[in-house]
Amino acid sequence: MLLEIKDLKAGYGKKQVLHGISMSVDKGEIVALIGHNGAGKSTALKATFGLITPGEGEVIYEGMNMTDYPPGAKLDAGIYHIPQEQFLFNDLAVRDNLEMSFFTAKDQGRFESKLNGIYDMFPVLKKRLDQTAGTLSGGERRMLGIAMGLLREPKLILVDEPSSGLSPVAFQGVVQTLQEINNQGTAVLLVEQNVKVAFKISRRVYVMKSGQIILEETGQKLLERNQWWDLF
Amino acid sequence: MEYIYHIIIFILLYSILVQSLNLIMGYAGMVSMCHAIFSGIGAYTAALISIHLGYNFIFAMAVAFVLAAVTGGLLATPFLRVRDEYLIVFTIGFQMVMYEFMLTARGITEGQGGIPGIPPPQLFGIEFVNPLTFLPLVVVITSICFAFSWRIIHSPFGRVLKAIREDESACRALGKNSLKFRVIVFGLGGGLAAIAGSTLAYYVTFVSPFTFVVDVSIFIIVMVVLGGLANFWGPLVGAAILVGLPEALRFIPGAAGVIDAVREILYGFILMLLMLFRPQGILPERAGRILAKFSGNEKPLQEDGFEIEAIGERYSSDPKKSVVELKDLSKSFGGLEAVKDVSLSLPYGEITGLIGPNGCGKTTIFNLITGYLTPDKGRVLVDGQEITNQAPYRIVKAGLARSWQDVRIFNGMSVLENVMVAFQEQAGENLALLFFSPRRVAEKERRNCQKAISYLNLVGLAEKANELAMNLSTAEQKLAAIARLLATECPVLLLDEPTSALDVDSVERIIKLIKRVAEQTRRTVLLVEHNLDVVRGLVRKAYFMSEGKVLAYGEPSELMANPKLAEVYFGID
Repeated sequence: MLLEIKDLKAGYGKKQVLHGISMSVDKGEIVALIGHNGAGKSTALKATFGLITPGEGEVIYEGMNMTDYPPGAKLDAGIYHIPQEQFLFNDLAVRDNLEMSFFTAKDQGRFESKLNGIYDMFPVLKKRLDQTAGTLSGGERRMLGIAMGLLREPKLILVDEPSSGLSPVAFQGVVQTLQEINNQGTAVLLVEQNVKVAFKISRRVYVMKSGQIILEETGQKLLERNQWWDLF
Repeated sequence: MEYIYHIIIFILLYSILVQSLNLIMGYAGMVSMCHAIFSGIGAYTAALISIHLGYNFIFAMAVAFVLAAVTGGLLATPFLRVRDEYLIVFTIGFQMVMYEFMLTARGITEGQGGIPGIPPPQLFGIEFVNPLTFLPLVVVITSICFAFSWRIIHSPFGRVLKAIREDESACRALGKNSLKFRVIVFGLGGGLAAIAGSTLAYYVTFVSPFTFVVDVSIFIIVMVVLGGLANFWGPLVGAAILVGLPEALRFIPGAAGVIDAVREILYGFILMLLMLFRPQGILPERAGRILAKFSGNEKPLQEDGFEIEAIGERYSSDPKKSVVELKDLSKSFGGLEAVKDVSLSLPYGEITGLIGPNGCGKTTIFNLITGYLTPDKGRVLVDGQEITNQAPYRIVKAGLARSWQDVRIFNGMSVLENVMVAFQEQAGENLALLFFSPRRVAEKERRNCQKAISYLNLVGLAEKANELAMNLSTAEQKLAAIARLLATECPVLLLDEPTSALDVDSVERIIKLIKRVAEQTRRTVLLVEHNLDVVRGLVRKAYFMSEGKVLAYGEPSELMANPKLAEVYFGID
């Protein structure tokens, strides 16, 4: 198991949102986390990445207990978090954003070669290198966010609602990108509201409700159902 | 000995000044950098009236009070629509302007030289001239001012002030016209400061602009913060320390000269250290004391703790009637059409749901109904009456009350106070009634307290009535917020994600509670929820929205059988 989350409890100060969840992501898997708004999905990602310190429970990555590790350490270990709010440097150009993402990487010498790899994967970004990130379209911003993550060569990407704010076409592009990345070996833990797509591309799915996991099932099985209202 | 009386007089006069700022800053939460000016208005008014008109000092002080109160009220009116940081800057500006006025309007204030020769106060043949005779007068004046403040603070009016300080928006959603309260308290604070200033003028028999410089305004702030914001005795403590201590230190040989030199530096340091290490000051605020004499002894109105009053019937008991109607409501933000031609109606006595994917416009609808947003087009009607575009507090008076997704409980107040502040038409919120009809106010308070405890019993929080709201768990805070909402006694309730972020058991508890309340009081409820278990458990019918439009209306089972809606909710491939 690449990532194991055991009985995780976390929240924001007094407001406890996760009431003991357990999940796992294996190498090269795409795992989806779905559920109603306010169920705690974003919180689960943030607690895993270390943006919130869990109150109880464990986050075990590559066999190491990293529960209380800060985001920087998790980043160095190979986890990358792309939040729903998309923290891009809006006033900086696309290339500067990519540089900023690489800023704390340990293998600084390899920046240019990695960058070329990114251009191959995201030709649209290559075209807009000097454009300020704030002026990119929704889909392009998501691509930039993912590209910034890829520069760090993560083994696991935590993506929070990549479809939010995107047209179906743009979202399709993002999904394809995630699948490509996954084909190259990166595992993905995906929080997503568009559950149809999530079921389609994920090997396994966890369903959350009110801070707890109520179901674990394969994406295929869920896709075969004719309705999903009971999951929400 | 005379020297000691002199110091005590100064401590008492400053304590009035500090208490008056405590009302504004500690209880109502507004920072004022011009408070010295109000005492200046008091001093100059009293001086001019006594010297030029020869009227007696009580009359002069009364005029000074009124003049300063009106000035404070007028000052508050324009800038209270403006946020806190700007308020601070505005009051600095006022301080500067008025100080200049005192210096240069020689025709009125006689400029830099000031006004000497103020005749000493006289009463029943006694002339109050030296510290010995002045001290009793100051004690009486201070006692009156403190008693006046006490009455205001420990009253429904004071309770609203605290709620405004905690969360003004949430306070308005309980039907309180917060602007009115802020204007009044700013005026009262100014008036009391004028009493202190005029008394000082009579004591020193001399007024000069230099007594009312910005340093003094800051000095008053330091004292109020040091003594403890929103603590009734804090001003006395703050004044005693910062006025008395330097004087006491004079007795140390060689200290006198040093004290004067470092005084200003010392005050600045104290302020910084306080903010770093003990921002609540020496005496902390004590919540829950307001009703200490009521709670614990009050029996709820009924055995099971709930007075069953069909509040919902205030409008009509005709089950076919729509209590709330939205007609063609629209709202855009820039290019984004958040709500487009939405028409919906809430049937009497039912819980109606409003569901839809993220960003579909549910919260915008809420804010449009409750007056937090202005619609571009369309109307909102309650019981046939138009309430479109009215201020939030008026919406409550029309009978609609809302809850908040992020709870917005008043953290610095007790659970009981939170509920009690929500009652409408409280006699004690009216200052005239507060001072001239104390029995009526007390009776209303007792009745409201009983009702409040009943509501707390209903939600299961009666034992925590005197607990500070901030110490409750999230689930308990949500229950307290429901009790608070019920206390508005509004027939229509708008619930915004009441179970968000709660665990399964708490969700169950809240579902049962809402159901029970709605049924027993025959209230009409609009429920926005993402957790469909809650929707299924509570609503008879729901509106399904997407991208600002209403797509469907029907029973949950009908909606969930609709493939088009499933596509919208679960995404298109």
